Amino acid sequence: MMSKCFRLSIGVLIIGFMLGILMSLSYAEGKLEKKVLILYEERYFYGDTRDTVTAMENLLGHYQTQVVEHKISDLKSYNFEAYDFVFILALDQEIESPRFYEALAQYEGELIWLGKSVEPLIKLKKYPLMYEGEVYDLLSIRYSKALTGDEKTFSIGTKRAFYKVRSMSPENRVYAWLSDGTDEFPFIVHTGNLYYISRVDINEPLFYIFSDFLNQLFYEKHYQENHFLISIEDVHVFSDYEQLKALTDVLYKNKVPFTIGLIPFVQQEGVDYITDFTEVSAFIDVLNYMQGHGGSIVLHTYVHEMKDDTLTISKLEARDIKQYFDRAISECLQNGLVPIGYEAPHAFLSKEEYDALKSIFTTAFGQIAITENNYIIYPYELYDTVNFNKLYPLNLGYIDPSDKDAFKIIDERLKRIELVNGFFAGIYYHSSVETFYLESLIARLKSEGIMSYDPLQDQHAITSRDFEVNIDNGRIDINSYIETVPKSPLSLFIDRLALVFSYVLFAIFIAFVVILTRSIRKQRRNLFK
Amino acid sequence: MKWIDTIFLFSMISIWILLITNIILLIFGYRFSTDMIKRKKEIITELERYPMISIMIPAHNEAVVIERTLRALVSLNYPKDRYEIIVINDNSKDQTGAIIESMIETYPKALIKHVEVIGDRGGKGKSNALNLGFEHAVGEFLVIYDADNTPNAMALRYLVYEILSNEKYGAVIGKFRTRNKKKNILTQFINIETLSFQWMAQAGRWKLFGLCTIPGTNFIVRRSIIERIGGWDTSAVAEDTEISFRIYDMGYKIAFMPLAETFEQEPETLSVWMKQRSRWVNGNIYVLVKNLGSIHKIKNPSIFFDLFYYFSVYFLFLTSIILSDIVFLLGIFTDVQIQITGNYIIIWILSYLIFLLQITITLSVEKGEAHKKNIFLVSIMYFTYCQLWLVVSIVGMYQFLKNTILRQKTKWYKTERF
Repeated sequence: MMSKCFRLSIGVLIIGFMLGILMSLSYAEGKLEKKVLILYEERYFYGDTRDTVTAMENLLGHYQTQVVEHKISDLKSYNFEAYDFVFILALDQEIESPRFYEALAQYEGELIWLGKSVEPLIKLKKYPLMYEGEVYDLLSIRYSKALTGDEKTFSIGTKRAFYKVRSMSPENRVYAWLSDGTDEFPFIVHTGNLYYISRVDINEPLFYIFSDFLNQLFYEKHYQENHFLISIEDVHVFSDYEQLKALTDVLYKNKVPFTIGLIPFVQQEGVDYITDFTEVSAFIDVLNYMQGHGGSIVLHTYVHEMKDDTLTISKLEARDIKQYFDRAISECLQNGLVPIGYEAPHAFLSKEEYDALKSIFTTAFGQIAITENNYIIYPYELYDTVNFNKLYPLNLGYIDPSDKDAFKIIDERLKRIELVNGFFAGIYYHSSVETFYLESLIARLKSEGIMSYDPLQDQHAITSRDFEVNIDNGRIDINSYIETVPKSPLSLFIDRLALVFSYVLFAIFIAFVVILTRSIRKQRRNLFK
Repeated sequence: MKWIDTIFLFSMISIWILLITNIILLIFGYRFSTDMIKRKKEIITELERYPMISIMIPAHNEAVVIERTLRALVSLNYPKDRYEIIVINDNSKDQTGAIIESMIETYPKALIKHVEVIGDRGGKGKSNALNLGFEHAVGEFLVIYDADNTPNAMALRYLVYEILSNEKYGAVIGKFRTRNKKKNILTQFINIETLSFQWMAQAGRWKLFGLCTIPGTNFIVRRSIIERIGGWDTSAVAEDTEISFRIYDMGYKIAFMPLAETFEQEPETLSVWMKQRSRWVNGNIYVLVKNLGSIHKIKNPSIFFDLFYYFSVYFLFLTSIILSDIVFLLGIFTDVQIQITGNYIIIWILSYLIFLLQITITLSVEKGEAHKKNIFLVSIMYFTYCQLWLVVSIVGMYQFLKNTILRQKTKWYKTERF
């Protein structure tokens, strides 16, 4: 018979356990990934500007999603119920199998159709929409931001094809309107479980409008905070050290953390060797100064060639990437510098190269080049995509002092990126640009109410051949796989003693198990004696 | 090595010195228990003689429990004319006196003496009460019971048997059990603790060194020893530990006879428990300091083990636990980290498992105690009940220092009865 107190104790333990489960479930709910299916007609792979599937997958990396992609013609069954969201991307032709449209009509999750060939579905499910075919020569787009409802209008002036649907019910919700100057029709319209988007487009502002629309679709709270990050670019051993310090002081004075785009190895024109950043102690001092005043080291990929003060990069193969970073990371750590990630190069990288980088770094900063001269500029950070564990986009461009309006690019992009709730605005600030531009930039960003992003208050990890670095909310753990400093005889002795001691304890543990077993058996034998 | 590493190593080594000692004590305690099983039959045969026994019970406001205690004592399996029961009623303000008188009337054949102490002669604690009771004792041996104890009928017989078996035995202690163990989780923890302490520390030390410490109740001592040492130390709060050391120093042994069982009431609330335990800590530190001061005069080398044991528990172990907790908290909340490498997590896990097994082994020696519920309690005891020991020790130390500095006199500190 259990005592009252014991029952109460068990009850408290059970309740506590259940509360713990409930709390972890509610936490897990927030972390629960939404299952997304992307269906396409034709797959274009990395390096092809038509690769909208990868762009879509990357964008979905901002949200708690588990993305699966399928070519429609390869589908073995049309059962989509396992997915919370189904995206149909830009079908050129209507799908021949009526079962495809029937399955979509029966699908109860959220269906997002981008582009043409939606008409059969509209008719089948009797959505209150009317498909009117292709249109060209659109002039502007008007968009009501998700959640806030703020309306913005952008000129688009495009000759690209859009697909026109009419909203036939006042209950339909139109998020964005396209206009050809005389007529308006929806760019994004929601009816029932269908979200129809007139076109897949990876160019601003349409891409940003779509990005913000996804906030509404996935409804995750974190997108309400907007951040900016300034990256001091092209920091290398031949930089102007006083200028670097001056820029650091401005940022520090304004309490703005920043990243330091460090180029560890530079080959000057006319010189047949590569200059290692550790060769100049004054440069190491500057880097430590910058790091100590709010800067975080981000490593550039590849050796840079310097010609007439212009830097270019030389190509490395994937196997060289590991060697390159093994050396760069080791040298940083040995000089008191802690890298937190790498800067995605401006050049196009192959999948193998991205895989190599992904195996070393959890965090990347920069843009994604889809070809040598084309980029996709994402408006917010991306997680667990094909090429990145975590990417913080440097998407506002740079200050061009040679231009009369040095901030032109930044201002334009900022206006567009502000379309997106929870945007991340990254700026390349070249180390040669005067400090007053930096003061002005900071003032502009702060006046927009954007918060600075502190990389150190985030989580990053780096795994090289010799080191493992973990950064977690300001706490830095560095584990070395190499014996840079041999252990003292005392340390070795203590290590061995601890090991021997644990063996001894294990033997005692076994002995006690044996004693206990014998004792219990003996008790049972003697129970009635 | 950094300062934090030194502190960590010091605390680890200190803690493990005591833990290893306890492991060794357990092994010998278990061996003793198996020896005892073999002995049991011969003890039940007739005693060669029945010496006169004076059972002394110091009582101060024990109306709640004294009647039950006296009923148990008059029912002891020992010739009624060969033992007397002396109840030292020290300045009780409740019905203790009336109950004693009624028990005398109820059991006219039992030799119950009511020693009523009034005024300044009394009110100075258990030691003083025992000394006053001793003035009325006629027995060749003295047996002491606390006022809440209910010994088994055979308890006295076992104690007498054992002390008669060897002239070197100056005293023999029995085993105490928890009568109210099922009251609540605290009493269940206490039950486990007292059993494991007796089978580990008492039985283990007895088997290994021929040492035991008088637990304050359920023990027999030669009258001649009390006469020689001049009675109990009235300054000592833990008069039982104090007298144990003096008995050792005379060259005698204190034997352990676990078959002589008594049941006592343990604290049922945390506050009462805290008061009791911190008083014990206070008392034990007094004895330790007293003996350390005259360590050069100690004749019995076995005493050094006890002194070392108490010292390691109250100073070394306590300090090390506090230091290791500080190292642990620094590691979590600051950048101060130990640099020495080693599989300390494994060592910690093994220490927990060994603790679990140790206690369970001691429970397995007692019939009906090694069941699932108790094993579950042991598993959580490490993180709950055992951690309170830290608080108790600190409070006890503080009380000792306060008493020493303020030169406070000993008075009655009794555990509240339920």
